[in-house]
Amino acid sequence: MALIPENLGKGLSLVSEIDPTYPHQKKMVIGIAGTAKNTGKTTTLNCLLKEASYRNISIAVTSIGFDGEDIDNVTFLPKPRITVYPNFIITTSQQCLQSSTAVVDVLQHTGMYTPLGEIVILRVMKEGRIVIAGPSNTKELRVVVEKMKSYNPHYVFIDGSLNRIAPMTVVDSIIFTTGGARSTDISTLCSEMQVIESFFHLPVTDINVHTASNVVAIPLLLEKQEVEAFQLQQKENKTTLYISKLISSSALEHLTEYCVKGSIMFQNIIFPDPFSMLIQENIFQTYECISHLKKSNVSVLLLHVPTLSCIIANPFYPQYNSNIYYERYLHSVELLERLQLSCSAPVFNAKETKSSIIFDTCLQ
Amino acid sequence: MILQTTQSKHILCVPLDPVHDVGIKLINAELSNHGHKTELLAPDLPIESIIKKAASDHYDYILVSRTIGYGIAELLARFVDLLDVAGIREHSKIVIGGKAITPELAAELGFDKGFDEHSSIETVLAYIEGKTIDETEIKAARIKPSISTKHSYLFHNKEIETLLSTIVDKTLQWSEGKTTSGIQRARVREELFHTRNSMQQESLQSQYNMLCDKEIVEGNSHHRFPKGVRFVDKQELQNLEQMLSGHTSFHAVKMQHNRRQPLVFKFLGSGCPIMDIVHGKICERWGIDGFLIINPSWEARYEGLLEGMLTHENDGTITSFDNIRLMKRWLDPATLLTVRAHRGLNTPEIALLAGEAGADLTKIDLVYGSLGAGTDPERLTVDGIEAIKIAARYNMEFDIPGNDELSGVPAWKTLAGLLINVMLGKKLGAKAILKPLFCYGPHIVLHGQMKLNYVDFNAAKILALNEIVDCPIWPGEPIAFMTQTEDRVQSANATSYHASLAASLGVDAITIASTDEAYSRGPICISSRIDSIRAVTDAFNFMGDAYFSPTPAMQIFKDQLIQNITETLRSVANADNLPDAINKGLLGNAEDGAYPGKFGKGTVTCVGD
Repeated sequence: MALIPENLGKGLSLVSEIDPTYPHQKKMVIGIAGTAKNTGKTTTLNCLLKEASYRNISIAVTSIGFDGEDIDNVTFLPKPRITVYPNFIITTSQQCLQSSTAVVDVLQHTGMYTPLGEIVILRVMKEGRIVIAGPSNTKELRVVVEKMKSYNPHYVFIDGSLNRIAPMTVVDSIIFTTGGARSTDISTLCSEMQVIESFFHLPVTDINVHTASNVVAIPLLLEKQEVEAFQLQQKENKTTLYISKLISSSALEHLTEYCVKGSIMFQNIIFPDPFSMLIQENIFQTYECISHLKKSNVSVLLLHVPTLSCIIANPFYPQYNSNIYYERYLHSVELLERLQLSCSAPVFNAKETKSSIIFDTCLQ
Repeated sequence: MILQTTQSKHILCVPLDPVHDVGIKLINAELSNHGHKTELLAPDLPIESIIKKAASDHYDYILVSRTIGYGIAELLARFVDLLDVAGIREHSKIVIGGKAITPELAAELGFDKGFDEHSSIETVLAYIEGKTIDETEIKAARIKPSISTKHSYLFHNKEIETLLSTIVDKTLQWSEGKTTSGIQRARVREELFHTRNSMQQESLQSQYNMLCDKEIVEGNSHHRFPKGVRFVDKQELQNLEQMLSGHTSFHAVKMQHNRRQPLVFKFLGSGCPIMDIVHGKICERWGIDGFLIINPSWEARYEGLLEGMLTHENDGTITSFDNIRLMKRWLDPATLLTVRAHRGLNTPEIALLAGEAGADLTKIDLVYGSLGAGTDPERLTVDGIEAIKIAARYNMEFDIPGNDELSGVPAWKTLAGLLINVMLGKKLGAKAILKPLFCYGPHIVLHGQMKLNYVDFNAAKILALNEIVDCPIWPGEPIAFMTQTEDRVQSANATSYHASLAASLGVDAITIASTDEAYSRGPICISSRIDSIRAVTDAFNFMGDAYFSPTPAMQIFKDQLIQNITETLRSVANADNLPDAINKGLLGNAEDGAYPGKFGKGTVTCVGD
């Protein structure tokens, strides 16, 4: 209570108004990743935050970068697009703070830096808009998430950033957004989401990759020439291959080919998590390789699998013609129906579905 | 020279590009020269090879260079992800630089830092070494130049010196005991500046009003201003303060490639002092050394000046003390500011206001102001002499624009007029700056001096003046006048060629126009200002310490100019005084297209009248 200035007016949600009965969740770190810009990531985040505020649930929000699409032409700083509510815990960068319309209290300076200044952790005192900015690498993101958890939010949201996914390894569950801005061909969207979802359905292993004697662990990068070497040198008791970090696409292809042929005898190939697949250059190729491996009785396993809690489909896409930007839309119903047929995770349109439904589905 | 530093960093330089690696090579070399341990990868390596290399050693920084291309954002983002998964980000900072890069893009893509194409090696080094660039050190590096200090004002041509001395002595003798309402207003204004007694101020203000035209009194006393004039309001000032307080020039950018190249000036005079200041700040950032405030042409026709912070919805910013002071306040202390006083009925007062407001220079030309700018020769001579004395008192240099050439006056007559002003300044203790034009004036069009090239005749003007007297030379006004078209590229080019020539000739300063200045049909836009600044900066870079080589025609032109200047001055010396010479057309006549001005005719009186 000491953090709240006395002269704040109505509409301020006081600490004591946070619903104390709302259970803190085990799966509390939730990522929101977009397959492209304009697929509804920001809309989804805003929708979830508004619903949380309505339910008096405190939320912490950070990002693995920042969304810089809207730039103020005078300040050249990103325009704030996320609405935050009292008692939310937010990270932003020192420079982005000046464009915030939310009234905030600085809780911590993290000592971590982005190109737009130091990351600071704030508590929102009065509703407004802010640029969410956070650490762009996994190590710092883990630290920031732990720092934010110390303020006892019910959930920690991690806003994704264009084309990057690796730091999402810290999440317990993830929401993907896709839509017309990714591709105007609904079949392509369905195929892509199907492939993405398949990575989240890979089984979790109980093999201890660090101690088990039958594991070949690749410490950094598995390349084609090392796969060739497996053919010649694989020992019979080494039945599990653990790709702890990276595998090149040519190495994956060759590994698959040799496993299918039987010239390499791994029974299990283990990756840390689905994001190891998502950072590959061609996820369709990765999917094909995994399918072939499975058919050849090679188990592709993961150490950890976050839940893919839902898919947000945005029919909107921008069409450019003679330097003019036109708003266009895919057929919304067809998009949702076909995506739902392709994927087992619930599919929603963030603007048309009730935020309470999305909230309950994603944050179980 | 390799400098040993206690903060030596281990740096991997990565050209993430199939071909373009010049930038990263230069940075690699500079970092190495500063004592850092650097390794430079070859371009066009597979991403996996780069990852392996980055993981093979403990690099403090991985500098990634990438130029513009399709799919660049996806490529860079994936690269950042791979570095993250490989664990490299746990000990290495990942930095991106290149033509497509901005700090915002770098942040969005997940880099620790981004440098754009304008970033200097100093900022890169400061980041690598964990230092902050001291802004005050940068600002301190920008020293206010002086145009006249390296000139002795000694005449090499003794005949011309003698003639000028005769002309000036006659003129000074003629003007003794004469006064004008312009001079009286300047004296009252000076007293007003130094009086604190409110009753005395009231009395002086009343005296001032008596010396003004009714339109000026209406404006100053009743705030009934001429059409389009109003006070700048508080909100506008607050907005200006808010905007500028958060943005200061971080880098002292220099346009000049070496010390021999001239200072560069631009005009301000949109009508709005706020707009002028904003344009001025942006031009400062791009390296402009000084500005000339252009006032509205109607201001010259009234006896008296409007007071207050005033904005004017038309060309020309009102020359009020408050406007000049506002500009001085916001412009960098090292930026030179010239206030135009060379025509009209307020010359001494404007010189006084300029001095009191802290301007660095004023503009006075007794000849052009009378011939091409409409003021009666007698009035402007008396006023001008007083203005030069005021300039001397405030230690302000004064520039003399040779714009008579634009009317059709031959160059030698214009230059003769400039030299008369120089001698006047010398005798009155003020330092004049010669402003011959680099233009394609009517006389040149008719007589073909620039038909074969623009170099010879322009060079001849400068070299002729150099041969006559050791005095600063500042071509304008602006350079390339009447060679520019509405095409912005052509206009910028024309300015840059003339700037190159000026640099080659070793002049002290130049005035350059924006690329839409002659044709804007409205306020000049900032992008067209930057057009010409960039063009001149590149021209200076191109010229470096090289020279233009004129043809033998230059020598002929030069000798002709000196001969004609001498003849002109002989005829002026035979006149009674300078106004008499101007009225007789000796420094430009009707045939040349020059007519003695009429404003203020009959207003010169004797002291005590």
